[in-house]
Amino acid sequence: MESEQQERAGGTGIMLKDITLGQYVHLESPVHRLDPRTKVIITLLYTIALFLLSSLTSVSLAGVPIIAIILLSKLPWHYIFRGLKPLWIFIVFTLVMHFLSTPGEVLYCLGPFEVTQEGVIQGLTVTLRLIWLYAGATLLTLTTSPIALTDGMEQLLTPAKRVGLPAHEFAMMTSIALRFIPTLIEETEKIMKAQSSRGADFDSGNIFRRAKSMVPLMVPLLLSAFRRADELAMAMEARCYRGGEGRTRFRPLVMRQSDYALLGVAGLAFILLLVWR
Amino acid sequence: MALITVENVSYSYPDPSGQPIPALKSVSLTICPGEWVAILGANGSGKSTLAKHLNALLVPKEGRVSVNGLDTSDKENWFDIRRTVGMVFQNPDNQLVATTVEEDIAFGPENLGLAPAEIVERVERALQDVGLEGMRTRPPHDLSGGQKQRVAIAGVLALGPEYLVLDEATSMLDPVSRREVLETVRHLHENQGMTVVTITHDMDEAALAHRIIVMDQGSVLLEGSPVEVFKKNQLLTQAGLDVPPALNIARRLQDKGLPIEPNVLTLDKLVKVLCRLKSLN
Repeated sequence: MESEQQERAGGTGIMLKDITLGQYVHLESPVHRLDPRTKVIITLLYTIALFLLSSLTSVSLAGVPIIAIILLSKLPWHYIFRGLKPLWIFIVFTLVMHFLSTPGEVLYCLGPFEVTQEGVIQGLTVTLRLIWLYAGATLLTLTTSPIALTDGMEQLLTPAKRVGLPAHEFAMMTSIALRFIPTLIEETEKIMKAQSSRGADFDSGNIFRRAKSMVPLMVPLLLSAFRRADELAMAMEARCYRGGEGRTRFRPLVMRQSDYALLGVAGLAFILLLVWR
Repeated sequence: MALITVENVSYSYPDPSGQPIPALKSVSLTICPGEWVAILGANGSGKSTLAKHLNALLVPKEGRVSVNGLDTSDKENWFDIRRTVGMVFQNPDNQLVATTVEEDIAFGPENLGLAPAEIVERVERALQDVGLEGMRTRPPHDLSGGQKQRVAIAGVLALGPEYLVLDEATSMLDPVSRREVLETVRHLHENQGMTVVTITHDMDEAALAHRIIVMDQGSVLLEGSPVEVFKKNQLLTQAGLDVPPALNIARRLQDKGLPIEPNVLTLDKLVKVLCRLKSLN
């Protein structure tokens, strides 16, 4: 399971099958064992904290908990930072913009542009913040199965039900979507093959041409998705589903002592940060 | 009163212009505990519409359906009716809700609001009943069609039903998967006394039942034991149906002068009969 997922996630081919959502990697580690609620709350606190920190030193130090969690989670390093690749251009752009546009003590002249000391510090701070932010969110999804994550979100949003937030419905929709993604991908491939065998061409021509060739793919796919939804709704009703009311869980989420301890530490650190700042 | 009664039930669907198209015309029948009934009919005979009346997915426009004394037209009864009459549908992909086998089986008991320990126990029992203990953490899209249908059966069993309705549950399966699913159903029927109602147009599947009800154009055309029903060639042809292939062969052999009784409905039995004949000669 684990090796299969690693292989899948690391593959370079662009088969539709390679699309993985949630990117969860199943491993046995203290981080994986934590309650999803704990992980969501800590990620949230961490994100807020990142934006409260302003000096380069403090933002650099904010990497310490990230690195500690990566070590504890037993995840291979490249897993966390592989996702940064698409952000690369964005990072460079941010760096350059800050280098050049911040007024202050000039370090170097590049024609009409001036690189300032303040610019370098500012640029590095913003970039580091971005990287830690990304790593934190990635760690959450890499160590928490999508189902546990939706379950945790539902539980956390339960108080908001009173003001009319459909927390259960959101969680149910998400888990059904996750269940049907592989089924729909399989179906897309089947329709593509069927259309190709009758001469349809999906991968040549310019972007408009290609978009147009997707129409005979999307129409049957949509139709069948609606039919599936209809049948699934009936099957759910037949199995006594009547919304979140009165429903129990097969595996209820349990907060362990380690969860409370960690939340306590994180909360304390957060308050200290607020005061000390 | 443990039985399902259908009394003078009529039902119609609206066509696109709003005109009613009758799907059931004054249908009456009874399903008793412990039996295996096959409802047989061609496409458009109303057999699936009838099936959906058995657990209140559809409510009769006229007439009455009651399950263990509970009237299906009363909304208050639906929950209890649906946990009593479990239903497995045609498309194996469109009835699994969760991302793993065991989570899917747990869906029903979760809806019943059972305690987690009880749910775990029911999931375990259902997995054993359909023989999928080794697949508990697999995602549905990793399973064969037959395995998916067995998961669907397990998901229904976890509700603790008294009746199991299979609405063309084997019609999208390959022959191997079909046999595997029917074997599971037969096991449940024989070892746990599960009442089974199979809706089908497959003669081999119908031949497994104690009693066959033949539907044609929204009405009950024929009712009786498989041997009785399959004797009525003309009526079956009228309903757009055929006799099981094994019986067909047996009849032709009989015409050629072989001493074969015309009560051979399954291939297995035909093979046995022929082998006995051979050993006699």
